[in-house]
Amino acid sequence: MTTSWFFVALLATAFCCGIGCESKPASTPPTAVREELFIESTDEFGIHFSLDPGDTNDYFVPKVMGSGLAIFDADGDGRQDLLFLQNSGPTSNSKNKLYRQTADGKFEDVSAGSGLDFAGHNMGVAVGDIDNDGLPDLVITQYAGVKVFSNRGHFRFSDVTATCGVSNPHWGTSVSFVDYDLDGRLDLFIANYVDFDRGHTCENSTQGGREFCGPSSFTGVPSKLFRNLGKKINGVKFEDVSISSNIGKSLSPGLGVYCADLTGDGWPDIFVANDAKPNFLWVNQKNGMFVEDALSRGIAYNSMGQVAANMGVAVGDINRDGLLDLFVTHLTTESNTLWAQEPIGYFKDRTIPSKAATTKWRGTGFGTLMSDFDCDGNIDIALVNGRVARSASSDASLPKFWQNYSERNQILQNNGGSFTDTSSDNPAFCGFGNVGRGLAIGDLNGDGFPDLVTTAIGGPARVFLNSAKSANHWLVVRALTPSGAPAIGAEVRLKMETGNQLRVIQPSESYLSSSQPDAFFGLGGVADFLEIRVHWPDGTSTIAPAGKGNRIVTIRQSSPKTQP
Amino acid sequence: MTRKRAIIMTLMFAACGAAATYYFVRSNHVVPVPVVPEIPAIWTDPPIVEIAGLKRRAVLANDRSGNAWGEYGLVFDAHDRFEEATVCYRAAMQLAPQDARWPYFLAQRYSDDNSELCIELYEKSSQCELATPFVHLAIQLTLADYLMQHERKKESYEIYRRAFEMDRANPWAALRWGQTAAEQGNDELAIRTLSSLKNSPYARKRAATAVAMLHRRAGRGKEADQFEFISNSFPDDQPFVNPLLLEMGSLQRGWSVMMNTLTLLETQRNYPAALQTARRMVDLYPSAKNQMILGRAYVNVSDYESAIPELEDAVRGDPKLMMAHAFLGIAWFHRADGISKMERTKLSDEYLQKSIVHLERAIEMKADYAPGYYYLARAMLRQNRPNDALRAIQNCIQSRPEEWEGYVIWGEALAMSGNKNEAIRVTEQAVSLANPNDPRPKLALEKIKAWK
Repeated sequence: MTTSWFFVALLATAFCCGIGCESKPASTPPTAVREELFIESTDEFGIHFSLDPGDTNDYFVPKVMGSGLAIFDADGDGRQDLLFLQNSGPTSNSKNKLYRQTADGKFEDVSAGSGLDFAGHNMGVAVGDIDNDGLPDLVITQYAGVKVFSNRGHFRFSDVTATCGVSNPHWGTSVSFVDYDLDGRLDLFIANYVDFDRGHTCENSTQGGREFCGPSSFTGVPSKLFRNLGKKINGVKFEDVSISSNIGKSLSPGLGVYCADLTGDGWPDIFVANDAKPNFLWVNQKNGMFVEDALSRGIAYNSMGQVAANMGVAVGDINRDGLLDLFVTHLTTESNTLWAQEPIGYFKDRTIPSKAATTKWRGTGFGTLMSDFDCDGNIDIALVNGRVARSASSDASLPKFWQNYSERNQILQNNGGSFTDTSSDNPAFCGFGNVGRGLAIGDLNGDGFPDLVTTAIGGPARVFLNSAKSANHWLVVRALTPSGAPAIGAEVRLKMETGNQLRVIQPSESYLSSSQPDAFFGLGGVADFLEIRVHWPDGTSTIAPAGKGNRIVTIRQSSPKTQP
Repeated sequence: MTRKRAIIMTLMFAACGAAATYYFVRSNHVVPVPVVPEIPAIWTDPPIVEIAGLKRRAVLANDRSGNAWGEYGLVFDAHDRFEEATVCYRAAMQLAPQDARWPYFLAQRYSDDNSELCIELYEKSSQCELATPFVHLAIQLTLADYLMQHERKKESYEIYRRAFEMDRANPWAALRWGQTAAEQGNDELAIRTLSSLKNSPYARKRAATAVAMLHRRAGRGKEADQFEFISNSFPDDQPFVNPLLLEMGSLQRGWSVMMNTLTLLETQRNYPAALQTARRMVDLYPSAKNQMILGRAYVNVSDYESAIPELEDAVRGDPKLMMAHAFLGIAWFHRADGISKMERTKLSDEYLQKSIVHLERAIEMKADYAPGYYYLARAMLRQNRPNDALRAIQNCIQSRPEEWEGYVIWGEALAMSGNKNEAIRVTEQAVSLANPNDPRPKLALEKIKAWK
């Protein structure tokens, strides 16, 4: 009896011990909590703009491609203003909107009388000083057209298209200024999309019914390059050099554009993201001509030799090796591609090792940007998503027509060359569905941390203020030409004890949009920098000495090598 | 019977009973099959419904057939219904575990979201016995490519090596092995392997680019330039032949597939085959748009007489079909051209006028339609209206400044309006834009120079 009681007791002890052990929770490491980087502040700023696609029953493809926006200082008061483009057609009541930022940080609608408040199938916008008078001028691409506006000051813009020599009969998309011949005058590159035929109809293969046609249904068309001839009697004149430069001899469905020196020879090149076709890299031959060299430089296809739907372009130095890398957005069924520049002028698909494709969800990406959102010294990636063909899932928060096109945006944070998808930690920017298209970056509240502004089809434009509460330091470098305009093409290199960083003054990237043309730097925990070196497009350099961060440093080129 | 014998007998009976039970259970263990997916209600295209119905009936007739399930899954996969395809592939895999196809296609469903499972399935597929050598090679190379994408280079290199050893003539294997050799620094082997692809339409462009990079890496700039030039002269490589994907492709049906086929044939300039496809399309899917496509196909084979009634039907059915107006304009132009060679000018004038009406309608609908302006200018020149022709052709050149043909017409219009010097200058531009081996712009220049 004693033996059996002992045995039972032993068993019972073991049993209870087991339960006790199981009921005690296993210790788990605390989950890292990431701070939310953005908060939506659209209403507080007084922005009321909705990208109106108009009547969509005819599935007119320009409408699903959306429109862009621009963040720029229109009146030179040091505060960023906003321009939003509309795409509902020339007879629509929905027009572009221009907002002026007032001294109290709010935005005031100054569209009426600005010259920019017109309806149309307006697609992309580029901002640049075409006449070197210190005021930013504008170029707006359209479906079958283009408009050039000269800034007269006080939020008045004159349409100088008819007299300036710029014309484009094709469907223009992203547009960028670039001084390709380094003569001190901004030249103009327009990416054109496809030879669209309204009579061509397409079907949705999974959901049935009519659908917007994709680019494969049409042939591409040539892009355009215009050389700035300077001020003449009737204003600035441009010369169409598309053919003589070779750029106009190739047909391609161009969407995203980035113009900067991508080959390390000091001359700006032109990268074009071609939709469902190999990308182009127009390499500047320094004699007015370009050679398309994307294939041999590794940036035409992904690592498997496959072409993807290439839409938006984000550019930055993700691994701080002093070379620009490119991130291009694709369809939901594809993964976005990250090309690292290694060695100079050549690119490798580093999507998988960088974890840029290891995301919690996927989307059809359009606008995308690289910037250091938390100012930790590593540039991050933001992208807006929105489908081009209906899916089974529906988002009741959108107008009925667009409910099946809805997708959530994404943020990828850089951990020093590899990325973590922190979209779930950023519900303000990523937690809702939209048909996202334009994305631009700028410091709207002057705190040195970059903010984001988006456009979405059938939905409101949104402003996302940077809310990163980190103790990290920041620096904004404003590189200006002698006339006081942003020095497009200038390379800004920041030297710190913790390493160097590179930015390029090129507001035209992302998708159809233009950002604040300043260099945003995150300094991390270090408050000081050792040197700022600005390499101007004409080959000269200016060096600013060591200093403290948390301010805007303005560096103006003293004397240009070339004539204005 | 002794007690000992009784125990032995009992144990023997028990063992036999256990064995019998085991085999009975094993032989009757039925792999459960899912409910046979329905044909989606949104599938209204008759050929798609027909093929889906055929394959569904095969499954219903024998729901223990892995092949039947698999082929039904292929129909869903071919028409982008991935949920149903996954159900069918899983059933097929369970019922026919040695068939390499089903884990392969299932792997493709997970390639974006679950790389571990995807690799597991590809590996399972590669170990299946039921696969021809060609299929086996395709599976191996797909797996290696996927591993490569996920930076598992060592494993993929080994597979590429084995694949190349298995079939050196396979361009997919050769390209990958050549690229592997290049990555490993074995330049000589890489160049030798890649050079073997110079005549392969599946890999010659990429092979030439890779060889150029190898030469450049070795400091041989001249050779590198040569291979880059060669690469640039090739069109894009065709996709590698994958027998598994071909099998899926053979089950694709519907209007969009026919349209893709037609587009491909037109791109390849195989116009007679495109015409046949267009005829079938009109039979299966009668519509104004498809009649326009048929009319266009007739124009492309220069059968303008057949093109015109089709295109006229198309514009009657849908007056907003820009391309129908455009091709009608082109067809009438060529008919007028044909007649005027026989010097029946009154009739040719009538046809020219019809051509102009339709071309103007087309460019009204699409202001940057270069071919419309091009033919309009030609028609106006035939009518001795050089100033009108000039306006039209300049619009053409604005849209397509890279095409030399527009400059030739521009030169003709200038010459006709008495501006011979400018005509020569413009036609010289045509010569500079065109392929140097093309005699047509040079002949046009001579004609302009001899203009009186």
